[in-house]
Formats: sequence, C-alpha cells, structure tokens
Amino acid sequence: MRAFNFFSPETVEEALDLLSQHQDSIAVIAGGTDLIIDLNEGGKKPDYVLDISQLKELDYISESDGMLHIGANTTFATLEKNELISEYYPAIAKMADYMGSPQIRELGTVGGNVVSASVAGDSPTVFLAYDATVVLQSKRGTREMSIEEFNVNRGKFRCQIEDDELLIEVKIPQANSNFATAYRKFGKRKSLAIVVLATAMRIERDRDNRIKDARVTLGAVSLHPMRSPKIEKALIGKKLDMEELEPVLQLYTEEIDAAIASRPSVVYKREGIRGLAKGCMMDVLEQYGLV
Amino acid sequence: MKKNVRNPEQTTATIDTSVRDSKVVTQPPQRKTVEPQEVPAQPQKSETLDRDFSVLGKNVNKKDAYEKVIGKTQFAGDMKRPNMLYGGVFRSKIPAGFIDHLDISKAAAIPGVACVLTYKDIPGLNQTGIIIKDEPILVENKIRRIGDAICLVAAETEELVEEALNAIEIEYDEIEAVLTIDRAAEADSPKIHGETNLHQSKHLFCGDVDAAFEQCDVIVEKTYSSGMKSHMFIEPDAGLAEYVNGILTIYVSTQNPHFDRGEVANMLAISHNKVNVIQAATGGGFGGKLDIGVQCHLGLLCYHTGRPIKMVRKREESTMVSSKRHPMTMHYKTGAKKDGTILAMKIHMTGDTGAYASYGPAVITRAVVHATGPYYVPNVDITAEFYYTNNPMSGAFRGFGVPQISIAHEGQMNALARELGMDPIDLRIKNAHRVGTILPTGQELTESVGFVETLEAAREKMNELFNDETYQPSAPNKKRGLGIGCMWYGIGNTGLPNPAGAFVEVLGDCSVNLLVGCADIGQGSTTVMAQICAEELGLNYEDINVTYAHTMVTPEGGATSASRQTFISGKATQNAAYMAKQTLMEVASDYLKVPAERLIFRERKIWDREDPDTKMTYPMLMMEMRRIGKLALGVGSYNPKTTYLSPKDMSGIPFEVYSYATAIVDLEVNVETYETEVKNVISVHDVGTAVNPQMVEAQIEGGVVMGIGFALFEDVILTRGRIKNLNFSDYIIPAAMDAPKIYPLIVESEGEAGPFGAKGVGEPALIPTIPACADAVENAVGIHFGNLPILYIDIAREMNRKR
Ligand SMILES: Cc1cc2nc3c(=O)[nH]c(=O)nc-3n(C[C@H](O)[C@H](O)[C@H](O)COP(=O)(O)OP(=O)(O)OC[C@H]3O[C@@H](n4cnc5c(N)ncnc54)[C@H](O)[C@@H]3O)c2cc1C
Repeated sequence: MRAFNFFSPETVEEALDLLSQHQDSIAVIAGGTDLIIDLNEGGKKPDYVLDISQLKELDYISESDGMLHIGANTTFATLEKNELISEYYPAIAKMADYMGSPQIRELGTVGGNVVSASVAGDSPTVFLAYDATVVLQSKRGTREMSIEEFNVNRGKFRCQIEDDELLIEVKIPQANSNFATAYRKFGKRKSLAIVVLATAMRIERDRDNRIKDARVTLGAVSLHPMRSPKIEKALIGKKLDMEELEPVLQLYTEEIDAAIASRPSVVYKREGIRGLAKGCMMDVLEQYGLV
Repeated sequence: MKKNVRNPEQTTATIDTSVRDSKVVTQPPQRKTVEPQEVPAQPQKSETLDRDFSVLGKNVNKKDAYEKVIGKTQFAGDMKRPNMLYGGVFRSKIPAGFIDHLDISKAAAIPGVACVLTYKDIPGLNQTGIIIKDEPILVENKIRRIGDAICLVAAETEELVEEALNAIEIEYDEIEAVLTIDRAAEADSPKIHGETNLHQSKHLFCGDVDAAFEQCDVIVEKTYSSGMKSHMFIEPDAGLAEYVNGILTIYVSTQNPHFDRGEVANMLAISHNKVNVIQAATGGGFGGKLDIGVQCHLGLLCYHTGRPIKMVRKREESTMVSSKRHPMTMHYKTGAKKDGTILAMKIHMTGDTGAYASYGPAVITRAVVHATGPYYVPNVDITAEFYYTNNPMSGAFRGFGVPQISIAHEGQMNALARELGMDPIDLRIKNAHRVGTILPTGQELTESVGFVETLEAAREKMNELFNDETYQPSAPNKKRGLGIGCMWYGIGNTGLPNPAGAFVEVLGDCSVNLLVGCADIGQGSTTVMAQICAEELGLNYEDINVTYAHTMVTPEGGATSASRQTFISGKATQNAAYMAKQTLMEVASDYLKVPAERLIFRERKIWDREDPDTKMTYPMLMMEMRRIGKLALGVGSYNPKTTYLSPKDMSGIPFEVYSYATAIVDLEVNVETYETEVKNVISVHDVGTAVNPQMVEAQIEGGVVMGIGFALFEDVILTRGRIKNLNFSDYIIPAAMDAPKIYPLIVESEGEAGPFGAKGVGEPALIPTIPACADAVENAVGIHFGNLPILYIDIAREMNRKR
C-alpha cells in the first residue's frame, strides 16, 4: 500500500470542501471493506484518503415525506438490528442478515455498497426493486437520481458519482400494507460468499389479492442488476397464489438465457434462478398471509 | 517368501473370513525388517497395556491455549528486530520457458534496497526438495511453473521491496506449457525434468485378478476423479532470519524444522550445526508447510546482508507457490460373490505432479498401498502413474493421496452394496480388516485393528439419531440422504525409516524439561508429549515443560506429517522418559528396599505395588538423587517397524500400525436452488489410545468440516497453469455457518505399538467424510457423482440432464 495523507472531518461540509479541493487524488473511505482491498491491490493509489466514518450526520434510518431514508453511513449491522426495517422492509432485512459476516456487517456501509456498485453487491439488486433514489451532494449542490440511472459506469466508477460528490442517502417509497418485498441470493457458502445469483421483487396487490404492480430484479447476471419488464408484465394481474405464479418461473430462465447464454455459469443460473424466484414468491405470499 | 493369499487357488470364493482371520494363513514377509530399537530398555509391557492412567486420556488444557486465546502468541509475521530488512521474491509470470534476459540493475540502484540476489549468489547447492531435489531455490534458466522464484530482494521497507520487484526487468523465451497428464505422456511433449515427464509409476499386485474376476457374481467398474485443492492455512508462510552468536537462526512457520535446517545449510555450504531453525507459532499447515517456503530465501538474504530480515508471503503468493493436493483420476474394477465377499480389485490411477516432485513419491506410494480401502482383497492389481506438468506443484496435503483414493474405494463399496442389495455397513463388516488379515503387501495385521468397531459404533449412533419415520427432508423442495464412508491410514512414512527423538531431564524440584523435535502446528503434539512424559514418569502434566522444534537443542523429530508425531515422537518421548525413570527406579528401589519392577510411579508418588504403605514422594526421591549424586536423564528415539517395499510388487511392511474410521453424513439438497447442506456427521475413529480425547475430537471436528469442503466446496481453478482463485473470497472453504452438527466418536483398539497404544488421527480425521458426502448426495438425489468436488453447478447440470 502506498503512503497517503489521511483526513477525518467532523462535518459533511468539511468533507465536501476537502473533496472539491483534492478531487482527482482523493478516495473516500467509510467502512473500508472494499476500499482497503483496492488500496492493497494497487487498484487505487490516492494521495489523500477521506474518512467519512465519523460523520454521524450520515448515520440514520427514518421515515418522512412518504419515503424511507437510509443515511450513507448506516452499517449493515445497524440495518440488521433496526425494527422499522425488520418490520416493514423484509427484503432489506434479509439482505442485511445475509450480507458478509458479522465483522463485515459491523464495518460495511450502505453508502459503500451502493457506490462500489459491484456485480456481486447485495444492495443494488434490492434497492432497484424498491425503486430507490440516491441523493448526492457536492460543493456545487445536491442532486438526486434513480438507482437505475445511477448504476451506469462513469470512468473509474461503476456508477454516476462525480469526484467531488458524497453519497448522502438512499431513499425509497415508504412501505404500506399492500406492498410485499423479497430478496433471495445464492452464494457458494452460507456466509462470506460473493453473490453468485440473486433476485428481488416488490409486489403491490389490489383488493382482490391480485398483483397490481411488480418490480423484479436480477442480480449477478450483468454488469449491474437489471429489471425484467417481461417478468413484471407476466406477474401483473396474476392471483397471489402459488399455482398461478409458478408458470412465471420459466420466464426467469428465459431471461437468464437471454442475458448470459454463452457463459459457463449459465448451466447453473438458468436452473437455480427458478428456485430463488420461487423462494421470493413464497416470502411474498407469507407476508400477505396467503399461505 | 511365501504368501498364501497370492496363490490363485486360495483367492477364489473358497476364502472366507474365518480362514483369513486366523493367523495360520501366512506370515508377513521377513525381508529387511528393521532391527529392534537401540534404546536400552523399553517400558514394561504390563505398564504399556495398563489403561488406568493418571494423565493419559485426560482432557488437560493445551499448552499453547492460553497465549492464543488472549492474543499474545507471536507468529513469525509479528516478530520485529532492530535494523530489520524486509524480503520479497521476484517470480515467473509464465508457466514454461527460459529466461532470455534479466536486468536487476535498476532495482538494485533504488536507495533503501539492500540487495537483489540471483542464483549466482548461492554459494552451495541450488536445489531443494523433500524427496527428490528437483526444485531450484532460484531459477538459473528454465522456468517450470508460474511463480518460480527468480530473484530475491531485501529492502528497508515493504514498500521498497515492492518497488524493487517492479523494477526488475525480464524477458522470457516462452515454450509450450504442458498442462495435462495426457499431453505430458506424449512422446513429443516438452520435458519438464530430464528425459521423460513420467515422475513415478508403481505396480502392486497379489493373487490373480483375471482368474478371480471370472469367479465373481458381480463386477462394478467406475472412474473417479478428484480436483486440485489448496491448503488455505490461515497464516501465510512467514519467517525471520538473523545471526545469533554467529549462528544463522531462522524462526519460521513450518512443519519440518530439521529438514529446513539441512536445506538452508546445504544451500550456503555450511555445516548443519551452523543453522538453527526454530519453529515459530504456526497457524496451520495441513502439509503445505512441509516444503521449503521462505526458509532458504531468508537464509540467503541474511547471509548476504548480515542483517535481520523478515519475509511474509501475501495470501496470493502463498497460494500460488505452496504445494497443492494432487489431482487424481482413478479407475476401479471390483468383483465380489453374491454374498458380498470381495475377490478382486483392478485399479489404475494417474496423478498430476505439477512442476516439482515435492512429496509426490510419498503420495503415489501411499495411495497405491491404501487403494483397496480397509477391506481384505485377495487378488489385487494396482498400477499408478504420476506425471510432471507445468501446473502448480502438487505435494503433501492431509492424507497423501488417501483422501483421493477413498472417493474411489468407498464409491465402489457403495456401488457394490446397491448392486447386491446389501446393507452397506454389513457389506463392509463382511470384508473388513481384522486382526490376522493379510494385506495385499503381504503384511499381516497383528494388533490394533478397530475397524469393525468403528462401523458398529457409527451404525448405533445413526440408529439413535435417525429412524425411518423422523428421517424426512426439512422442506418440500429438499431431498435428504445419508451416506457412508470409511478409511484406513498407515501411521508414519510409507515403507521408509522415519525416526524421531526426545531428551528428558527430571529436575530437582520434580519439574521436567522435555525436548522434542516435533513441530506443533496447532494440532497439539506439545500437549500430547507432555502427557506421555508425565504418565511414564509418574508426574503431573503441569510438571512438564516442552521445548520443541528448535534444531540447536531438540533432537530430530522428522516431519509433522503422516499422522506420525503422537505415534513416533510420542514413543520416543516415552522411551526417553523411561530411561530417566530407570535411574529413578534404581534409587527408589535402594531407598525403599523394594525390587524396582514392583515400584509404581504415579501422581508424584512412588510405592510398592504389593505393599502400598512402603512409599515415598517424588520430592523425597529427588532429594535422595541429589544426596547420592545422580541425574535423571533420558534419551529416546523411535523408528516404526517397517520394511522397504519390493520394487517388483510392493510387498513388504509399509507401516507398523493403521488407524481406521467410519463416517456417516446426513445432508440435504435443495432441488430448486441446488444448494447442499450437511446437517449431521457421525465420525468414528479408531485411534488406539486417545492420549487427549478432547483434542482427538477437535481433530475429528476440523477434519469433518475440511472433508465437507473437499467434497462439496473446494476446487482450484486453473487456466494455463495459473491459479485463478488465490484468495479466500473465491477459493471457497466452509465457514462456521456451513459446519454441521458433528458427533465425534472414539474407538480405542488395543495394541502394544506406539506410546501406550496410541496411533494417529491428524489425517484420518479428514478422510471418511469425503466419500460419505458423495454417497449422501447420491442417496438424496439419485445421481452418482464420481468427480469431486460436487458443486451446486454439477448438481444443477446433472439433475436437469436427467429430467
Ligand atoms: C470479506 C468480505 C465479505 C463481503 N461480503 C459482501 C456481501 O455479502 N455482500 C455485499 O454486497 N458486499 C460484500 N462485501 C463488500 C463490502 O463489504 C460492501 O460493499 C460494503 O458495503 C462496503 O462498504 P464500506 O463502508 O466498507 O465501503 P468502503 O470500502 O469504505 O468504500 C467503498 C467505495 O465506496 C466509496 N464510498 C463509500 N462511502 C461513500 C459515500 N458516502 N460517498 C461517496 N463514496 C463513498 C469509497 O470511496 C469506495 O470507493 C464484502 C467484503 C468483504 C471484505
């Protein structure tokens, strides 16, 4: 690891000043569980490292204005233990539960996960299903964009963040009793496993227990998590009943075939995805009390 | 020499267990039998077999536990010295070729770089290797694998080492890399060493297989294979070298300090007593720290700079160049009668040696000797060929080839049981090794064969845990299966001398200095030696201080491998303790006026076995020793009673004793996501006497989890000789959440060999879980998998192919 200067500001404002001063030679560190690896491997060679882990301003989980706000510095351990999350946002709770290991959850932050935007990252797949918006801030001002727009590579970043920007929070529409959400992933072991395959869904039902709206996402099948309009369309209008939902599983396989037909891993993914998706469907039915 | 079992007439169905179990069948071959020990006197038999122990069999705390728990243990990577340099290695990036051009001048000119060394700076032998010295310490010209060491750098900081390594300029003349055994065997393939790529071949035979197959009612023929595996010891290779009073002293994470000493001294062309190798606390080895790692490089850099120097391999470097488990392919043909009696086995196996021999010769020999499994087979024909390639170097890895062949011999037993409609445990019991069994090598098993007991104990536990009604999958999308696997394992090196020694001194205050060569890599040999020593002397465990693996003060211990240290260093320790005790016995006998052989030494007291009131305390005895001017000193050594194996048919006595084990695995396969989950494992081990039952259980538990990793998770991914998954993030070993509920059970078979009848469990602990996992998957989903590991992707592929 190369030597660097280390800043540990106490306010977001201070942090943004430093960022704008050293734009092209500074790296932000939150939990460091991704960044340290980059530094060790020489993927990043910054002259300055900006530690934002002391910014308590960015550590919050709250509901307001019809949205759930998750501050960038929220660790996975905090998410895992938060009652609002475990009660009303089951897919986020599940993701936090199964992320990394206790040590990694203690350090790793939502902001780090979203900005790293790794193919194998958990949160992008989940947040995309939740129709999340990211809030970015720099000395130049604040901007918001959907996670879909955000997850597009820009130079050295796997997302749209600018050199002088901080991710402030991720926000998603507040849960209500018509929403059900689910997330399932497959890794090569039960903990500390890179995501091999993942899928998430957010279902909105109508009064007759039919699917009114659906957002379905697939993780670890392309550069970034993708939505599947095809599956979503097939789900809309279906009765919330396993028998009726089950035929849709075949579409998952078709989507995988279309996305990664020539990769060796397709052998597993095209089959395994149905198992994960069915798990999600069962979670959804359970949340609605329909099983 | 006469071996009745090799007589074809005897090998047909007429042989039944009663015949072969009687000792009348034959005598073991008597050539080149090792001479009896030169130790003056052996502990008396009555004491050896006395199972009423005061220290042995007790779960005393491990000697190293406290320091480790509080985080005080110093590993080599934690060590620091004033004026210390850091070392690094410049390695080849191609698998095969020649060095065309090498320029170290830019690197050497960097301020803060102490030296850059090449092979030209080696004053002595530029060759290393545990059995065959075919690996250069620094490459002279020819490159045989990715990661071959070419130059060494010493610098003031780790960053400068990196900088210097990046400044070394090299051009290669690349040639075709030999990446498969098939290619290696072809006449026109490039030769990695010498004239042929055939590293070794073996042929073990007895009886007449072809004739015997004709007598068989059932024949099962299958091919099995096992991929390359990485040890993934948690602590990467590390060491520190410095001169202490003119002696080149190397603290190193190692399993093999005495071997290391010789290699370093030979490289520097200095005498062996000018090098002192001291084992640093070692964070796991599993066979991967038997070869030379950083030792020679540290020695050379220290020799040239005269300064203390430390080297700690990065994880990627460690995985890249430490030895790997041999990938093997095994073709088995097994024939049996309708009643399950096995008559014949014909086996052919091949293995990928990689670029250097390492422990390859030991792996091929041991695999061949164990290939039948723990079953009596009168007609056997086993051939094996191992080839050099430009792949990573294969070597020793917990089990020396036996884990691989266990996949096959157990796969065959399970296939045979299915074919015959027989209970797989009954089938095994029918053919099991017992006292009196003659092995394909002609050796007769004379004692300590607890295999059947392991099978019975496993069955009993299985019936207790599961019954037909309660044994159900935990969810509708899961299938559940039970599988069984067994193994046998010869303790010590195969058909080779492999002695170890010990020194004992009982001090005036009744405390003891015990010096053993044996490296403790966390398995607990230090604790075991102390228990054995205390038991023999009649002292307490706490009285014994053990100095180990320190070549200037401890005698040769041999390698911590082959599950040999409890058996061999343990016996040496017992012998040394007994020698010291003889002096103590004489003195006590004079003092108490009781014949020496009637004296009992136990828990710091000495008494007359026929009159317990005639007694003295140990402190009194030591006072008496001082008064008459005697010292309680002991030297002991032990070399297992084996013979060299015949080059013709591999007959002989490869091992003095064998450990046995049976495992039962209960697992579930999710047929929608193809995940496997091992839920319960029963693993029963015949260890002779369990010196420390808790540590035996710990070995079993660790072995079970590693066995699950072997069978269901672990696989080195190679592309053109390069390991792609060098890290824990992508070389997947099981973690805590993947561990099942484990039932470790101990069987104590009786025998006189070894210290108080103890055998070994280090490698056996791993083995039976592997084939048992494969069997359980087959029983769960109804598909036979002969290639291990069985990954989720394989299950997905096969289950969907079937549909
Ligand atoms: C052993 C191990 C297991 C893991 N398991 C998982 C897993 O199961 N699932 C998973 O998704 N990930 C996993 N990860 C990856 C990692 O832990 C997560 O991505 C984590 O959320 C990163 O957060 P962090 O705070 O540690 O980020 P850091 O390493 O501090 O930062 C990551 C990146 O984000 C940038 N950054 C961080 N915060 C901000 C901000 N507020 N504004 C702008 N830029 C920012 C940094 O500059 C850096 O580029 C694992 C990592 C390890 C080492």
